[in-house]
Amino acid sequence: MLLLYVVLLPFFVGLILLLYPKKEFPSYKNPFYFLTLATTFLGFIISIVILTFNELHYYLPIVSNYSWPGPELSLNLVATKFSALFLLGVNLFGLLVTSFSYIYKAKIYFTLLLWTISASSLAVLADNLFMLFLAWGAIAILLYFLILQGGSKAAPAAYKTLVMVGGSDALMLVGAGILYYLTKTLNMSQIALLPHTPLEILAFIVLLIGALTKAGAVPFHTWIPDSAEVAPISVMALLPASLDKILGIYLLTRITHDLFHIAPASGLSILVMAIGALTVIIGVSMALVQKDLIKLLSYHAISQVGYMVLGLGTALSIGVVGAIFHMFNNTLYKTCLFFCGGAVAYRTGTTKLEKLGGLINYMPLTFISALISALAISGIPPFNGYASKWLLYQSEILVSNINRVNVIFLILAMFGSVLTLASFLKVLHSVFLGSKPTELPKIKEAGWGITIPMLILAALCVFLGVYPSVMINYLAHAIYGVNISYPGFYTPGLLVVLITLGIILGFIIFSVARLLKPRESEAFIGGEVLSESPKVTLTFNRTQVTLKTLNPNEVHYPGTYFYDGIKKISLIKETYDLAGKKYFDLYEELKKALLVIIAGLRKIHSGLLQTYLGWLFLGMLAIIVAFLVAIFK
Amino acid sequence: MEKFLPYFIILSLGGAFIIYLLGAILKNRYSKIADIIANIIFLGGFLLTLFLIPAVKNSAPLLYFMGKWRVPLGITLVVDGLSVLMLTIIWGIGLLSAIYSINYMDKFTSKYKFYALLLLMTGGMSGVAISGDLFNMYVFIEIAAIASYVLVAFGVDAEELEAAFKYMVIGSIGSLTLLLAIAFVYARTGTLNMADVSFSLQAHAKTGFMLLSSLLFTIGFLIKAALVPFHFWLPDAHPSAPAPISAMLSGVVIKVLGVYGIMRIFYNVLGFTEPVKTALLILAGLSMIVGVLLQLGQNDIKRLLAYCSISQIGYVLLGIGLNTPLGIFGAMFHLVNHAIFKSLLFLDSGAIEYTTHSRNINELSGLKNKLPVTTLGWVVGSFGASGLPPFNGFFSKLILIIAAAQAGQYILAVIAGLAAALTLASFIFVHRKVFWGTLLENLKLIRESPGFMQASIIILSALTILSGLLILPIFRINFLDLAQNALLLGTNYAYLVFSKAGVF
Repeated sequence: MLLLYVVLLPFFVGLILLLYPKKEFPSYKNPFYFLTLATTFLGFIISIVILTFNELHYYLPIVSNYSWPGPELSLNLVATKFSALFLLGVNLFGLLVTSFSYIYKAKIYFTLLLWTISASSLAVLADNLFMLFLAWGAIAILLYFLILQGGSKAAPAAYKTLVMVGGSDALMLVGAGILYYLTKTLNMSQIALLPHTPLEILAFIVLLIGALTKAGAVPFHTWIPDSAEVAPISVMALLPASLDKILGIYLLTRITHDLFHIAPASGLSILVMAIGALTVIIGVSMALVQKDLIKLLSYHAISQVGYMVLGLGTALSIGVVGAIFHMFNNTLYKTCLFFCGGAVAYRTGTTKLEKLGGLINYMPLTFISALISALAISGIPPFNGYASKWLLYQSEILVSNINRVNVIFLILAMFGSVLTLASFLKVLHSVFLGSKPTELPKIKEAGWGITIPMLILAALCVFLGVYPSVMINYLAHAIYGVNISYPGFYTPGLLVVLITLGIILGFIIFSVARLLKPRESEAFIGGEVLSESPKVTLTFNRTQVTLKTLNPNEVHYPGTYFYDGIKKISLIKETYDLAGKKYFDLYEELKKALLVIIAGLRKIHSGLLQTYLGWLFLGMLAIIVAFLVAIFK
Repeated sequence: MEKFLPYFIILSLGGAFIIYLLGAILKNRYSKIADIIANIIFLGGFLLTLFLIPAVKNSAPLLYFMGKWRVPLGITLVVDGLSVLMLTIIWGIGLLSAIYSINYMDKFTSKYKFYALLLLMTGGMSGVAISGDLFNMYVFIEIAAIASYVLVAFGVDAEELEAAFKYMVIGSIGSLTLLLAIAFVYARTGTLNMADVSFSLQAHAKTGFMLLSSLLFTIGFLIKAALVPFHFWLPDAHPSAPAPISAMLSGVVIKVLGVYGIMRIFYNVLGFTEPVKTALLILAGLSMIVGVLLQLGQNDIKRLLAYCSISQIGYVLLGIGLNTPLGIFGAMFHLVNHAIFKSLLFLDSGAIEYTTHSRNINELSGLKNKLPVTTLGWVVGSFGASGLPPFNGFFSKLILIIAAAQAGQYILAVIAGLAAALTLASFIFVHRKVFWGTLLENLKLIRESPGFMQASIIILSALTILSGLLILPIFRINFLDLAQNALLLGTNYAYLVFSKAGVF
C-alpha cells in the first residue's frame, strides 16, 4: 500500500489544487506552494521508508487474462532495492524543486509539478509495461505544459519537445507489442531476452529510442536546448536535469540489462557506447560556445547523459554501477547548477553571460555551490563526479581489453571531461568572477527556498565524493546482489587529506605573495587575445570630451570571449556554423524529408474529379490484382 | 425489447418528415420548435439504445420480423452486440451534434431542413446497423448517403457544392458497386437475408461468383470508408459540411456505411477470406501513413481533421484485417474512441470558425485566453487522437499495435507507431499556431461560443478522457466484448439467427 500512497498522494493533492477556485495568491503567502512542499516532503519520507524495506509489492489487476485475448494489464508496483533508489531520487528532486518554486504563483504550475512527481514515481515502480508507458506518456504531456508555463514564446520549444518525446513514446508501443509477441507477457520481471533475431533487435531499438529521447541523448537531444531558452528554470531543473535523467536511465538500464541482456562489446553494446561517446562530445562542444547560462547548462545536461549511456553500453557490472552512480551524481550537481543559475536569474533578471559578472561578492553561497558542483561535473576529485567517472573509465578500459578499437570511447569520454572543465571555467568566470557590470542592480542572495536546496545538493556532492563506496556498494547489491570488484585504486580519504593540505599550502603561498609586490597583468579570458577590449571610455560632458584610460580591474570582460577562438579554426568553424543552422538536428532533417514527401502527395490531390476518379480506378485495379494473386497462389 | 427495434427507424424517418412538414407550414419561422423536436427525438433514440445494451447481453441477437414475415421471407431486423455498438455511436454522437446545432445552425438558412436531413441520415445509418437483409441494408446506405450529400452542400457556397458533387459521384460509384455485389450474391444464392445467404454459402462450395461479389463488396465499402486510395472525396466533403455534420460524417457515417459493412459482410455473411485480409491490411497500412502525412501538410483545421480520419480509419481496419480476437477488440475500441475524439475535434473546429470566422491556422493565434473551453476541447481531443496517455486513443492504439505484433505483422505495427507520432506532430502544431502564441489584433473582440456548443464540447472532452476506461472488465463485458463476440462468431451468425427465429 505504501507504494500506492507515494503515487496517489501527489496526484490527489494536485487534483485538489486544480479544482480549487482561486487561481493565484501573492507569492509570500502562497498556500499552493506550502501545500505542495508538504506533499512532496511527505512523499520523500515515504520513499525513504520504502527504501528500508527489502522488497515491496502492490498488485491490482486491471485487465486480467480471464476472457481477454490480450496481455494482462495490471497496476503491478514493485519496489526492489534498485527501483526504490530511483523512487527516492524522484521524490528528493521533487521536494527540492518544489522548494525552489516559491517564486512562482500560478496554481496550475504546482498541479503540474505534483502530477509529474506522481507519474514519475509510477514509472519507476511499475512492473507492467502498460503502466510504465501510461506514466511515461503522461510525463511527456506534463512536460509540455510545464514548458508552456514560460509564456507564449515557449510554444515552439514546447511543440518540438512534445513531438520528440511523445513521438518516441508512440514508437515504444511497438516495442511493447513485439515483446508481448515474443514472451506472452508485459510484466517486465518475466521478460529476459538475448537480442539476436531482427525482431528482438527492432524491439530493442524502439525502446532504446524512447529511453534516449527522455534522457536527452544524441541524436534525440535537440528539444532540451530549445526549451532551456524559454521554460521556467525550475522546470529545466525538474525535468531535463533530474527526473528525465532518472527515468531515461532507469528505462535504459532495464532495457539493456533486464528486458534484454546485451553482451559486452557486442554489436548493440557498441551501438549504445557510440551513442554515449557522441553525446558526450557533441553536448560539451556545443556547451563550450554558448552565451546563455541556462542554455549552456542544458548542453551539459546532454553531455553528461553520454557518460551514463556509455557506461550502460559496456554491459559490464562496473560500467552499469558507474553509470547509475553517475546518473545520481549528475542529477545532484546538475540540479544544483540549475538552481544557481535560477538564483542568479532571479536576482539579476538575466541569464546572458555577457551581462553578468562579479557576483561572488553578492551571492557567496551561490558561488560556493556553483563551484562545488562545477568541479563535480568536471570530474575533479574529491567530488562525486570523479568517483563515478572513475568507475566508468575503468569499465571502458575493460571493454577496450576485449577489443582494442573500443579504446576510442575511453579517449572521447576523457576528452569530454576536459572540455567540461574548460566550459565551467568560463561559467564561473563570467558569472561570479571578474567585475560586476555597472548596469546590474544591487543584488543579494536569493531566498532560503532556493539557497537551502542548493546547499543540500552541494553538500551531497561532497559527501558522495568522499564516501563513494556507500553508493557503489548499495548499487552493486541492488543490481547484482554482490559487491563488485574493480582493479582501479581510489581512496578518497587520502585524497581529501592531500587536497586539503594543498589548499592550505596554496593559501599560505597566496598570502605571502600578497605581502610582496603582486604581479599585474591583463585579465584572463580563456587564453583569447582581446583585440577590441574596452580599455578606454569616452565621456561627453557638454563642453569637453574626457578620454580616460581605465584601470584593468574596473573593466568588465564578459566571459563570452572564452573559447571564441575555436570558432575561427577552419574545420571546426564550419561545423559550428552548420550546427547553428540546425543541420545536425535529426528532428529538423526529418522534417525536411517529410515536407518533400508531403509536397508530392499534395500534388496528387489536385481537386479535380477526373484525377480522383483515375486514382479510384487504379485502386480498384490494384485490389482486383491482389485478389487474383491471392486466388492463384 | 424486440418490439422497440423498428422505433429507431420510425423515430428518425418519422421525425424527419414531421420536422420538414412543420418547416413548410411555419415557413421556416420559430426555429426553436425544430430544435426542441429534433433534440427530443435524438434523446429518445439514445435512451432507447441504452436500454438495448443490457438486453443483448447474451450472444443471442434480438430479432424483429417486419410485417410478421419470418426468416428468410421478409425483412428481418437483427440487433446483436455489434449493432448495439453502432447504434450507441450513431445516437450518442447524433444527440451531441443536435445539441451543438441549437446554437451553431442559427447562422444557416433553415433549421427545419437541417434537422430533417440530419434525422434522415441518422435513420439511414440506424437502418444499416440493424438490418438483417442485404438489399434492405443497401437501401438504408443510400438513404444515409444521399442525405449526407445534401448536408455537405448545406452551406450552398461554390466550394461546398463542388465538394458535395465530388462526394456524390464517388459515393455513387461505391453504392453501385455494392448493388452489383448484392446482385451477384442474389444470383448465386437466391436469397437476400444475411443469415440465409451465409447458410446457403456454407452448404455450397465457393465459386467465382462469390469471389467477384466479395471483390465488389470490398471496393464498395472501402469507398464508403474512405481508405487510401478511395479517400479522395473525404477531404473535400467533410470540411465543407457544417461542423455538427462534419462530426457526424467523420465520427459516424464512414464507420457505419463503410467499416460496419465490411465487418458484417465479411465476418458474418461471406466469411473472412485470405484475399480480403490481404487487401484490408495493405490498404490499412497505406491509409495510416498517407493520411497522416497529408494531415501534416494542411492549413485548414477541418481539412486536417478530415485527413486524420483517413489515417484513423486505417487503424480500425488494421484491427479488423488482422482477424484475431485482440485485433477485433482493438478495432471496436478504436472505433468508439475515434467517434468520440473526432466529433469533439470537429465540433471544436466549428466553435473556432463560429467565433473567429476562420479555419486557417495561419490566420489564428493566441486563442487560449479568449476561448478557454474550445482550447480545452482541442487539447483533450488532439491528445486522444494522437494516442497519448491517459486519453482514450492511447489504449486502443496500444492494443492495436500489440495485436498487430501478435499476429506477426511487425511492419504494420511500426507503421501504426509512426503514424501515431506524426499525428501528434500535426495536432501539436495546431496548438502552437492557434491556441498558444500571441493574440492577433483582429481577434481581440471575440467571445467564447454559446452555451449549447460549449456543453457538447465539454461532454465530449469528458468522454475522451473517460472512454479509455471501457477496457475495464465491468464495462468491457457489457459493451465492447459483445461486439467482438458478434464478429468472432463468424458465419455461425446464421445458425444463431435461425435458431432464434425458430427455423430449426
